[in-house]
Amino acid sequence: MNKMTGNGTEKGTRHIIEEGIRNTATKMLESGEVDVFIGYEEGTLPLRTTPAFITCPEDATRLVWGPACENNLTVYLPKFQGAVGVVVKGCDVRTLTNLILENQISRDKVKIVGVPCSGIIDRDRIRKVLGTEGPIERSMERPVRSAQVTERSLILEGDGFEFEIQLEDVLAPSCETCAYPIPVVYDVLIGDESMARHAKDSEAGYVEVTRFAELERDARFSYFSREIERCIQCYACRQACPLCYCPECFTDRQSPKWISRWRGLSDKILFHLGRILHVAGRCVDCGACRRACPVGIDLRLLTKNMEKVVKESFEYESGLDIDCLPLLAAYKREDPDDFIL
Amino acid sequence: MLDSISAKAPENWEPKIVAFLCNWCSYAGADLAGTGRIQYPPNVRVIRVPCSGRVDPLMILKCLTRGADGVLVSGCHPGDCHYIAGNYLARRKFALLDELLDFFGIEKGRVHFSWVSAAEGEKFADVVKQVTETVKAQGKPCLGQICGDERG
Amino acid sequence: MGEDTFKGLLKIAKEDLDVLVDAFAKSSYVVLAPVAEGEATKFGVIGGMRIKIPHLTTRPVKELFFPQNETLFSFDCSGKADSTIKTPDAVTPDGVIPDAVMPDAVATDGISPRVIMGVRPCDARALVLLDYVFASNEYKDPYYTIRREQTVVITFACPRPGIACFCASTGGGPYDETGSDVMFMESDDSYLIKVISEKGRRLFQESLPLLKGGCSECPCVIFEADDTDIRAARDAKAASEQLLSANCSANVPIEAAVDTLGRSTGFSDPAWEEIYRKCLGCAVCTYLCPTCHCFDIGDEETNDYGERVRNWDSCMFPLFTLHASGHNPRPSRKERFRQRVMHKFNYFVEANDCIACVGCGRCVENCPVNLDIRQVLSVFAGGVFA
Ligand code: SF4
Ligand code: SF4
Ligand code: SF4
Ligand code: SF4
Ligand code: SF4
Ligand code: FES
Repeated sequence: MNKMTGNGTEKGTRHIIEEGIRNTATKMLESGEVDVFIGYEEGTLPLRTTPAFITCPEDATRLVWGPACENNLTVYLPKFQGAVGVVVKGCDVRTLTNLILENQISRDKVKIVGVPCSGIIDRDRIRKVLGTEGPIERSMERPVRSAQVTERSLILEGDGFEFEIQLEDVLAPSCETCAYPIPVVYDVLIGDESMARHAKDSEAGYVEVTRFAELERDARFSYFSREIERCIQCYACRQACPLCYCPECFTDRQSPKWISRWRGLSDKILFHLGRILHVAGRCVDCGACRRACPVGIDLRLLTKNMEKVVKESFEYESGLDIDCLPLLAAYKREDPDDFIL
Repeated sequence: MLDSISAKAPENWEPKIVAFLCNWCSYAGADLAGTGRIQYPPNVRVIRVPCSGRVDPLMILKCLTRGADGVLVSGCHPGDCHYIAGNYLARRKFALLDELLDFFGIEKGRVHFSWVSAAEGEKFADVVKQVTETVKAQGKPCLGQICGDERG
Repeated sequence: MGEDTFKGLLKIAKEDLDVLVDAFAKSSYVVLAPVAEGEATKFGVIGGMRIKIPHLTTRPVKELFFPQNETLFSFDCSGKADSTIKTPDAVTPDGVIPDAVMPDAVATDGISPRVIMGVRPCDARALVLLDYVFASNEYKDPYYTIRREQTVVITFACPRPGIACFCASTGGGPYDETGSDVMFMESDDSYLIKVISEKGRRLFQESLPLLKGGCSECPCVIFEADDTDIRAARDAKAASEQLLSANCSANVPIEAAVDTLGRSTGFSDPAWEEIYRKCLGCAVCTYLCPTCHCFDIGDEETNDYGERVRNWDSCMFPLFTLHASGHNPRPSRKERFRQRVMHKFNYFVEANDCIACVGCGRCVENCPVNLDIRQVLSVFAGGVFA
């Protein structure tokens, strides 16, 4: 029994997908189509899987699939040497199309193995559920000692408790309203489209953004400042983002020195605003940045708002099209300019 | 500290405004305003750039975190860019920056964009007047204050 | 740790903890303890808040001794200031110790002593490792040393080691006293208190008379532990150690790994080629590590005023070793990841005769890609990670 994926002997959807991934990897590695196959394997902690770089066909049995497959594996692709196969969810493939558009990897070097996604779990949400409804006070314990995934729920065990949570209640926020659970581009699609979780209303993702925008200006500024003030400048958000592939990020530039590690809030704000602008029109709301943050800083409102603005002002959605110009490398004469004096 | 970000600016306060002017148009426009002796507020500090497309939004943000009270970016009218599309490309970036700053809670009217040609000395003076007034009405910027509250 | 672990213990009911904290505060100690900050926890001044001890704070206690950013001195070239170089007398956000004290000005007067409550044994042990770096016999960093001297560390033994903990494999343990001045041990609804160091003794001597108990005359909230209490504490310790060793991923073959890395082939071991691959190159594992201590010193100036500052740095960043020429001797994540592991389990061992890891598991839990140091060590030990 595979604990992290809930893939027991029963032929559930996840099990079919997992087998599909393993078979595809084996085939691709045996035929020499790819040198490396990147997927997920069992992690070392409850609720975790970890990226796996498979080079021998025999190792393909290590590959797993389930709602704990949280990492966006396309982060490893820019400037990858050799041919590579990669497992992608609906959001992951959209960062990959961006990488292709931006010439970070050529289309013929990468074999895209798409999976119909039914959403991944959010560990912060799980901790919160455990805190409010469950047996553990929030952030007072390392709560879970072991976890099992069933078709629809998680069964968490800790010291003296067993607790069941519905997967639907702890989905990552981006997954809740995901509009593209089926990869838009692929070489192989594992399973079929019916195996994905289709959001009832993908526009609902903007509700929070709209609500936030209605707050007083001061309240918005304070909210973001307080959030960003906690940033420890570890740059895990940047490193986890597949679109932050710059060999030298502006934060690391010494001349001119954009960001100082010493100036505190003002430069932390500069970093985050700068990064949000750098992923504007490219970000696909995969959530990798948020999950990577060790202190739980959540700037999804900013990226989500950008996504909305880009959609409304330029009728552009990131990562859907493999033959277009990136948003900021193109223009139209009739682009909005009512803000210009 | 964060609660006092909207502190009022002192009386007679004169804002510092950084103006990034495209060499081929707005910079010449500013020159024309000068030679034509058209009066405009002395609050702008001009930085000449080769094209409005050269202006990285980071430059604007950096100004605001290092003591500028306002920023103006001015380039050639659409269709007139010396490098054909620099200003069109810039326009997209600025549109995004504008929305981002607003959503983040940075005062509207802190950062301005304009198209001013080499022949529009009058317009340049008007733009500077308008920008200076708006910035003055806003008082000290919230971003700059954070910077000042911390380590200078 | 022998039998006398449990000799001469004091006892306080859990609900009276805040009374004790008040007494510490009254005898002019600043009390720090775990505080929540958004989703995370760290150590901070608790003010009037009730103490809550999490399993392990997200951010380690090291930042109270070796802050992420600190000003070493400032300089003023405007000609207006009376002196051109000044040691700052600004107070840290914790309001505790002047941010910096120059070597000849090291004096404890006027600096309030502080108590940190709720440190876990791994973090306390890490302070002793940091001492090797910042307060050795050859070199004493004044900024660090004065903070150390003025601080009483009150450790809370771990009754239930977590799933990422592996302190016992690194030479510590859930009841390890290394680096602690006082240790609190949970036992039903009370804590048993063991005073370990002279600093700890002084703290209790000064504060106990200020305790406000049920009556005004005596400190009735603190008692001497009796045999039953001691038996309970002993059982709790055994249970805790049992819980830790039952988690097989907590048994890490560190000695064997240290041995492999220490051989002349350790640096060029072929395992390095693969093991780093999923690493993203962030600073989560180093910034959150209680023993990581790399820093960068630079100047921050505006016009005619500047400060010489010291900031945390991380060997996982490319900038860490970038030369002015543009050459980088650690060009990829492979070399950087190797540096992190080698420093902890080889170079530090050579310099100080112990590893620079206390098994707190922060890097294990927080690594965005679950690159588990325990697994890495198992690979070098030639085994398979459970
Ligand atoms: S910014 Fe964050 S959500 Fe957007 S693509 Fe990058 S990692 Fe994903
Ligand atoms: S923040 Fe900007 S400069 Fe830095 S890596 Fe991301 S895209 Fe590149
Ligand atoms: S991951 Fe979090 S703490 Fe680290 S730089 Fe990003 S926002 Fe800051
Ligand atoms: S936390 Fe993980 S991904 Fe980040 S540098 Fe450390 S090992 Fe690499
Ligand atoms: S290396 Fe990891 S487990 Fe060891 S002390 Fe550092 S953070 Fe803790
Ligand atoms: S040259 Fe003036 S905007 Fe491009």
